[in-house]
Amino acid sequence: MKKRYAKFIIFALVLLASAALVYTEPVPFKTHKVTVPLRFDYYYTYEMVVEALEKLHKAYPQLTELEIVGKSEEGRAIYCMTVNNPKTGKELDKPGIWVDGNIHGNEIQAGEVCLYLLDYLLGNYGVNKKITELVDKKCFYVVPVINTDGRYHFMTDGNNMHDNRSLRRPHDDDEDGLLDEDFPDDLDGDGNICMMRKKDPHGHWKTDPEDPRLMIRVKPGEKGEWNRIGAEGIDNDGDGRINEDAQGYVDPNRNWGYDWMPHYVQHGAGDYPFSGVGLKALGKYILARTNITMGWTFHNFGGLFVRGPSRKAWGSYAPEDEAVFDYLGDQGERIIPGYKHIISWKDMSETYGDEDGWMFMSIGAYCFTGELFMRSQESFKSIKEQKAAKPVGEGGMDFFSSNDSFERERLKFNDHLTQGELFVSWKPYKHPTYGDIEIGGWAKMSTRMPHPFMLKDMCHRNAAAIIFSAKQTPEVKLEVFGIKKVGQNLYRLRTRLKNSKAIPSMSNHARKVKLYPKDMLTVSGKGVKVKAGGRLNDRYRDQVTYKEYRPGIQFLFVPGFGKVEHQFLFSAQPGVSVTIKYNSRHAGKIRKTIKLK
Amino acid sequence: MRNETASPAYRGPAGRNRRAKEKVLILQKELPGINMKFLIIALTVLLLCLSANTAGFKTHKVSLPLSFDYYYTFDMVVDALKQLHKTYPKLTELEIVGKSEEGRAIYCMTVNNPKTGRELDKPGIFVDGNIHGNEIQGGEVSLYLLQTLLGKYGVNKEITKLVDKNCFYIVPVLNPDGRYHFLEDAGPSNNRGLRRPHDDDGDGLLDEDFPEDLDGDGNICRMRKKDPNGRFKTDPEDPRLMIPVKPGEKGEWTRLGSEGIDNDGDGRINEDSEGYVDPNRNWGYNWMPDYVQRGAGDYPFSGVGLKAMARYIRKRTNICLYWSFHNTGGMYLRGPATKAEGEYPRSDVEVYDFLGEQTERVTPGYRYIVLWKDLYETYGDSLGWMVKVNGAFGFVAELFMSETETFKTIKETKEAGKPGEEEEGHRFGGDPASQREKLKFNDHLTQGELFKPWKPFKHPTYGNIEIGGWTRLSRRISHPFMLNDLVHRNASVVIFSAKHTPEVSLEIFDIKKTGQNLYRVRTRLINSKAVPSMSQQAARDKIYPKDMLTVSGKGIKVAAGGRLQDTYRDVVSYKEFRPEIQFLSVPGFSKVEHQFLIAAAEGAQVTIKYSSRHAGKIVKTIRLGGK
Repeated sequence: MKKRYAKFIIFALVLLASAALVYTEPVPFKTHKVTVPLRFDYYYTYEMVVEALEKLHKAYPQLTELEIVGKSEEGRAIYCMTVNNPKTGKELDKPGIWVDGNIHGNEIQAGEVCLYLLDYLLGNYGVNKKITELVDKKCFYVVPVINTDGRYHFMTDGNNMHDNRSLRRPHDDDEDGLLDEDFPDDLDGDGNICMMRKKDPHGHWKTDPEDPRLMIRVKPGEKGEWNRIGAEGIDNDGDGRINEDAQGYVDPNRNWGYDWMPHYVQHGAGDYPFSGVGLKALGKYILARTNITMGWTFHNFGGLFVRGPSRKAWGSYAPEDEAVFDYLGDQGERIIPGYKHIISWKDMSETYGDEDGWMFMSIGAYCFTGELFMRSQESFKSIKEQKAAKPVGEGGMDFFSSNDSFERERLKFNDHLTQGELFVSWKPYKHPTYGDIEIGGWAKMSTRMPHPFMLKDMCHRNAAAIIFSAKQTPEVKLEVFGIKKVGQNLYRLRTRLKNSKAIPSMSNHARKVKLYPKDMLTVSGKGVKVKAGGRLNDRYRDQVTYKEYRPGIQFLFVPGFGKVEHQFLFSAQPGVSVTIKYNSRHAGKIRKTIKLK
Repeated sequence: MRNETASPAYRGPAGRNRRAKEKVLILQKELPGINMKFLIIALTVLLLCLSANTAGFKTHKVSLPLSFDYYYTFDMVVDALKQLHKTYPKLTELEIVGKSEEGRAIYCMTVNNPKTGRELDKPGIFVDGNIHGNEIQGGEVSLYLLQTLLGKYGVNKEITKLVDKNCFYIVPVLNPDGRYHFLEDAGPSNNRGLRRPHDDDGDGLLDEDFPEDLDGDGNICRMRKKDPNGRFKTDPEDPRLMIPVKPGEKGEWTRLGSEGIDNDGDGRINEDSEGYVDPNRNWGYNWMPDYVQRGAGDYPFSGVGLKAMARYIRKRTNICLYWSFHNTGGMYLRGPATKAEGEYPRSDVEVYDFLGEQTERVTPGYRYIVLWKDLYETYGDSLGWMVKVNGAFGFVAELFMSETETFKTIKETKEAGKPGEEEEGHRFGGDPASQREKLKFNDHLTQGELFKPWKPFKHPTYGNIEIGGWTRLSRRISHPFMLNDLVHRNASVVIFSAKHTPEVSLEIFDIKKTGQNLYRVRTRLINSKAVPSMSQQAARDKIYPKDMLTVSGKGIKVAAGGRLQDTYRDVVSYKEFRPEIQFLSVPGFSKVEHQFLIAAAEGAQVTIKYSSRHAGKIVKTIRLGGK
């Protein structure tokens, strides 16, 4: 017992020494210098994201605000950059577009999409007419990295591509009274948590005859060659199990305040909605921005624009809301050929307490989850072969499913398009428990994110999809017409509110559940008394649905690509000024004054 | 000489503008009928041309590692090369191959590790780009390739091996004048050819009626005029487009061609821009004069830069692989360039097919096709010369697929059928449906950067017209957001093929004493890569000496030597004269064996040397007898 312990200590020391060696080497990401305009041929560490935001803010101080929304479990700041031109109006008087990324710590490229969007909006302001118009009319809230601890550890620590997804809230997975004490370990110090395998004639795997780097299952009765023994690591706590208590699992995208369920129903749920200090701060921050009309939250992977309902039990969204999602989603599929617009519960999986559900159901914003990166991009097929083959990852949840022939193809992509950067060749290693083993397999920066050479294209197209949707946030114009004297000091006045964009000034869902007050149209003026007012249903036949009480204030919404007309009858003296005000959370404010003849 | 006399007027746009201005003034004197209005407009145009020179490219600063977020002006290319050379002095040489018609340097960067051998002892890969001045992205592919080879040397194992084994000659911009004028002039013209003046309209003046950037927006767009008798009307689906009227239908627009005025007052517009000598129709194989091959100069290698380039290449006898980057179409072309040449020998075709089929996978969408058969015939192109005269395996890459500017979902693309399989014309985006789609791409993926909306303009000849249309950087060139992907994949294609330059190893086996002081020695040369040590065609046409295998040593005499046809049955084709020198080539993925009978004393030292232009040199020494 004692002897075993000593061996373990020696091994731990060796490990520490090798770790020290590794960390004296420069982390490859950090060799890049952050400059504006930002470059997108590498991935940004958390510190570089912050540096990029600070430099953007410095370069464009008049158009941006950079705020710390809150801090993470480990005290890393969560930044939000607001893009708003104060000269064209206050934030809350413009449609707000919310964009966030990297809520799952390992899904890093979402951060680059956010940075690209910022760089593109700011760099093209005053240069490109359409972007200038867009920035002048809207307000963008962009949070490149929600899970700051996750990104930090993913980039800095030795990892595999699926690690560091969650929040850093300690949890005793193996019930030994210790918290997070048996992480996987980067035994060979190459920055990747790969796989371990051991020669074993009784193993279930043999070397793939077509590519010796791969293993395939033995057929029944066939002699084995390899045993797979899981992710790289040792038994840190000496309990006979390996890698069984890594960082506690609280999934930041299962803890939002709509349809939240505890962890025994929804894996990854914390103790209550908005578990996680950063998440809570973010929830508050979003709630204070009542202008948020459109939302985007970026994940990886699959090449998808996902929208709710997140669960079947919610039923379908109202046809009017579906139409908006469909319009934006269908155009998104054209902006990024290959991406598919799907419904969360039906085409992917059911989730409780996710962000896009909360954004739509509790905030009233149309929200998409962008699942970045398509596996088919790592193809090694000619266009002819692609057509002949069944596309990888088509349909449903087989985005992660793989098969031997696709793995072979990916290795060829790795060989010929990345010169071997994505796959770590098997190398012998002496493991304290297993003895002579081999370590190798797909690298951390593979599988869920594009190689940097494809990053820019991906960022640009996704930013273009956001911009397209941002252009479709409501743009309401107010026309006053049909002013007529109808009696002694009695006037008629008609208004028309017209929305030239696809998104209504308030979603059908928000109206149905009375999420927040509707748009208001008010008629006022000195000595003006509104006798009657209501929605004008047919201006030729003069059909009006008059409102019974307080006719000077009308509650309404303006549908996408639609209009609403109202009629008011009011008493006033000739020459009096009448003020008509329109006030909407999502479509801004308009005020018009007319003088009665 | 002819060039020298013509050159003073060709010092770039300023020089040209000065000339045009003089021309206008002369016209004013000669033809008082042409009023002041004309003069004022012409001068305004000139001013606009000058002021629009800041084309936006120059705002980028070149720094390492090179960024591929934007296109490089000629000066920036040079800056990039110099910085690369400064950062990687041990691996690179930067030479000026020659100068262009307007005196701009043609740079070649050699990537070779002197520690692993001399240039000529390694397989050479020659890469050029931008031979057509307007086909600029070949320059970026070359720079990206350099950045990858140098930046990843010592970092990435595969690249390190590749650089240590081969020698790369990379000429990012073969037509520097073309690139310069294409990117830096406000216009005009396509700048595809060389700057060799030519009197297109036969009026005794050289290149005096270029198109003009009338509205000074940095683009030569199109002109149109409202005209009820015109043959075009506004497209009801997208008012920025025009579609032909149906028979009997009332017209709305007449198209007036490219933006420009009648500079020389001859009643014609834009009819004499820069003289057309196509640098890719002037190489020294199957060259034909202008009346057979448009763009041919006066003789092969017309063009001072081209001639210098050819000399430079001729000296690099190790060049066994050639890549030339053009646009457009998404194609990897191999020769023959004309049908009359006949197909390449079969074993060469096998090499092309092996490389070509892989390149189609490295850049999905690109097609590996045969030049004369699947595209068109050309005389005197660089490919033919590199393959038929220099013995290299060569490809022409046509960069950029217009399908990448689609606005279709993947489903719609599949239903619409086959990207890249339409007729040639469609790749340049002809029909209204694809124009509408391209405009949507322009709107939603470039925020309108590719198309100039029509704007009114007062034209000295046509009066009230409109100017608008696709911008200079919209056709044939991918938007910068797609550039990184394009350069990476195409550099990967070069790297893939470079990995297959011959790698020959020499084995000596079955040494046996067969008589009194008589020894038998067998050699095996194995090529582990796809490209042979000499192409079948080069061997057949005897365009240069074959590989040599020599056996020598003090006091030894090679009694017989020849190719070993069958090791087991001891079948040898002995060479009649000088058996100690064997001529041979080692095919791709293959081997050749030889047998020598050597008279020598026991213990004698025998040196076996293999020397190949394309596969390097090997020397091995053995000692005969003993154990």
